[in-house]
Amino acid sequence: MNFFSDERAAEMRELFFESAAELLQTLNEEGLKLEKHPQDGEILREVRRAVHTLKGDSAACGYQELSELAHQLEDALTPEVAESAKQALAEVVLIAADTFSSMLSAYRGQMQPPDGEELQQQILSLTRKPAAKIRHKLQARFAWSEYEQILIADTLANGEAVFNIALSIDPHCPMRSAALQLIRNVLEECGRMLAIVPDPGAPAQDVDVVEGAIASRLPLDAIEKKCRIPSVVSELLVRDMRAPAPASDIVQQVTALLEDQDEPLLHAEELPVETAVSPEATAAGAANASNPQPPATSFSGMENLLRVDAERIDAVLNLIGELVIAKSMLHQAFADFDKRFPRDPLKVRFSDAMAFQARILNDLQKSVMKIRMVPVEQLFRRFPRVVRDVAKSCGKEVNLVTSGQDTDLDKSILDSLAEPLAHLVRNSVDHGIETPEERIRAGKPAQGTVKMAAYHQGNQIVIEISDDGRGIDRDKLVAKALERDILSQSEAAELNEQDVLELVFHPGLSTADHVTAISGRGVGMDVVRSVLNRLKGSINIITTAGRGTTFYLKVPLTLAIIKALLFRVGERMYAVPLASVTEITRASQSDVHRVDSHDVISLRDEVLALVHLHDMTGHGLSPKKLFIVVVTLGDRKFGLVVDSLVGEEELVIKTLDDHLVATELVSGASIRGDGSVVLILNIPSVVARLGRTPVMMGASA
Amino acid sequence: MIRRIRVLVVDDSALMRKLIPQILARDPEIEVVGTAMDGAFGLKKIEELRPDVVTLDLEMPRMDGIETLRQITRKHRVPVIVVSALTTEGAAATFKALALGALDFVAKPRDAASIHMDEIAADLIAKIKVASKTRMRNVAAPAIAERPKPMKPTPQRPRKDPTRVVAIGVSTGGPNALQYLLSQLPGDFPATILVVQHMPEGFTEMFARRLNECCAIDVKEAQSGDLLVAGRALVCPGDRHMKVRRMPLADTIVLSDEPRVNGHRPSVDVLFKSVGAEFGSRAVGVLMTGMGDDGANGMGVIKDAGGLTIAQTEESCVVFGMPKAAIERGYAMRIVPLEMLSMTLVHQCSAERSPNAQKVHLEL
Repeated sequence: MNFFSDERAAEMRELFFESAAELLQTLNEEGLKLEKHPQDGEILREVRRAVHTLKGDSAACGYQELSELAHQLEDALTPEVAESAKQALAEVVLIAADTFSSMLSAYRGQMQPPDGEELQQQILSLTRKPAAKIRHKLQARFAWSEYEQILIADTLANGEAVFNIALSIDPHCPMRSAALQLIRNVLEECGRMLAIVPDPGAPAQDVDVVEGAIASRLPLDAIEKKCRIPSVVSELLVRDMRAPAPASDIVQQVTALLEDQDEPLLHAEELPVETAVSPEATAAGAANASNPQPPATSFSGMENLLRVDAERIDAVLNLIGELVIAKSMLHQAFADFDKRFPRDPLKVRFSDAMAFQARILNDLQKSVMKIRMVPVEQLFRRFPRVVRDVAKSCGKEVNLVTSGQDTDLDKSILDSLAEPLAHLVRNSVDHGIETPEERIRAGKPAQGTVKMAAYHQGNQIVIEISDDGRGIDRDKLVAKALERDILSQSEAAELNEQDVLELVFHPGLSTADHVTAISGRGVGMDVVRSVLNRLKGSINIITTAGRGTTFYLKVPLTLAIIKALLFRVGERMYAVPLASVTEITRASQSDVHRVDSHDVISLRDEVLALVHLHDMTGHGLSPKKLFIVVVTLGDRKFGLVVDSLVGEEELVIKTLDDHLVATELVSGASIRGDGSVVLILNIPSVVARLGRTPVMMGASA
Repeated sequence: MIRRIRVLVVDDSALMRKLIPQILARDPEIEVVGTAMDGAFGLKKIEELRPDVVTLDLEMPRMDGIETLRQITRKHRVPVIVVSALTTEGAAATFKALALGALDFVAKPRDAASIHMDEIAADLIAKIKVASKTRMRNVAAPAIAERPKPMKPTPQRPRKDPTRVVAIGVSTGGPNALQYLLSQLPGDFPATILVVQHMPEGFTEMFARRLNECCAIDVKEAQSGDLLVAGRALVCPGDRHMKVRRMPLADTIVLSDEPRVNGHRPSVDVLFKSVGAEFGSRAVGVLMTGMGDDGANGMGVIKDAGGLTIAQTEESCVVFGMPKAAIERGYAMRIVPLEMLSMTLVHQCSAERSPNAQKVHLEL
């Protein structure tokens, strides 16, 4: 019987995974900070709090393995351990973040989670004192209960000899319970059993060591001989309790024994308990409690945080889209009214009301758009860890600098950018930045720098990823492309610098001499580009040999509503995002020249390749006068030849299901106020298909 | 229509802020009016929403639970139930919170898919209901361990057989009441004390340690094989039962994992019945504040065996449940307020008044 309905439980788990991801993020960030400042109590507390919450949450969801590990880690996160472990603690925290993460994905997939053995060892090695590492000798507690102690004392007082015996069971011994029984039998043969640990009833498989107290008349070496059961007992310790110490002092003797050994002995989990209540810990706790509360202003920003399903916001946005359509319906109706009754006094009131409504609608739309916006920081914060790990694994020193984290971006765009950015950053570290020796030889500081920056540019957001590494070797690129038959010799000769860089995006071309585990996996540059195309964005590369490479990713602020230029081709109405339009020009047929099977015109002394949209619709009438919409793609310009211009309008994008539109040329559609349908062109695909630039021809082949 | 109990949940885990209200939603008398992600918001929301009961997590960023609790007790006087995680530090903070005036605590929900959850839910709901009926009183927390006493030298006093065996059963409101009682007993208290406090596993060790710090008598969490000695109190660990066993050389206690009794492990009845059976007229049963009726029948066993049974008075109880049950069944021989309990015990357990002496007296 479950406590919650399945639905509830699923919802709960979803929430768990979501907040666990955030906690892991915190763990990663704080772990990195801890690496730099291993003694910082505040960071340590932050880490512990994250682990603590993770422990509680995972326990609540019934993820015992995770909760147990988190518990162990939490107990190890004390100032004392931080003091002795130094950087090692941060390392363990980061390993923990990884382990937890893989456990989480296993839980998500309803699979058996990894056992976290490595993490467990790491935690143990933190809490264990250094001396413990060389210890392999059998350790015994002889922690007899109070009654057993007086029983032993009494026996000794009666003049009998008592032996404390500890036997560790050979780890290779296959049958634990039989071994245990055998040991018990042997002990009983030695004399009268006063005490034995574990109890005969205890489960046998966890037992490594058996301890007993025996009253016996046999000499010590005889007992030792009896107890050495071959291939069952691996180690043996026999102590005669008729030691010089008076019988009543057994307790102390045992404690003294414990101190000698200076160890958690067989019960490692007891150690954190002891360290946790040491004075420093309590002092730290008290300091925490008595910390002055932060000023009231510091939390006004997070006062009313709401966690809302993105779908609900999309639903609102959708409705607003409909409203925008309704608004333009109203405007058209009004325009008709205006024509029919040009002098009607009602007209002024209508137009006032409509202007008012339009303004509110505009504000409303902006506010809702804002809800979908999240700071780029959410994305950037993952990267310190990525850079650290990649740099570490390829023996480089890399510093990550981020800026513009507070730039807002549509959540869905942000999410789609995660993988491409990760790829680019990994590339920068793995291929871009040189090894410290190489850098010093080149007269650069040994530590390389990768920069991530985000900023607004018009209606777009630009994300820059730059490194100060060796830059992209164009010759190498071309050579690779030739080698793989991506280019022919003649084509290669024609390429200009920018064209060469375009090769980077060709599927199956990696400049690294060998594919490494780091950058050779998952998405390639071709995928990076296609993601950006899908987002109606673009990617550019600027590279200087020896100085570094910068990738510019441009994406629209949002995907839901765009300002667009509308035009007609044949019977159909199309639109392109206004952001990509640089100018509109007219030309006559006679201005069009044909170069290498491209139609081009000369626009202010620049050669502009034309794209005939007629080719798309399939009817080929060519009026004398051409309207040309000049669009930029990357840093190239193309002229789209259209029949007539309709105007500029805000379009609410309705995504089209894949099975509705079987072409890449169109990225979405919109409905206008009069009910007419506009198709929004996907410029990169249109150019690739109809523009026939040499490189693109290779790419789309 | 009945007015529902308005609850505010203060917890930094988003999951808990969802889980706890869903647990509470199962009870029609309880309504969660709000949640807060840390102490500072919690305080604001208390002012805004005026809840009847607050559930409070202790480990939170910015303003932690202890500080929040201080402010709540100072300003708002809303009953607080601590939702506590099971760690050594968690347990320490929990008892600090109880000393600061938190009414009670529950363990953090664990394993939503298991039967655990039903118990935790029932526990939380019951405690919230109790809390809602409690005006927060000025906790006469007597010897609060804000002044940490230096560790007592490890018990080196000569082992003395106890005059009597005092078994104490206590539940809700117990930690503070027990601390009050035990701290009043002199170090040479001639009887031995066995305590069953309903408390989740993992908290009892810290609880015993705290008591040991502020009491003249020795207090420790019981282990199987511990001896019944004068001047010592043994606290039964959570999730075990505690019984006494008389052995050839001494009297000892035995812990066991038998099934729950009256829905509890440890159960007061288990202890009381065993003490009554083994010690007869030397047994003393003390049933203190707590919900339910665990221990009431055990009081009857002790009474029938010739021992003494004492119930705490209603006024001095946080919850007058268990003592009430014993009184109603006619098993309580004395009804004593908390303030008088220590005196009564000292008096009843003194060597002269021990049952053996009494017997002589009666025979005269």
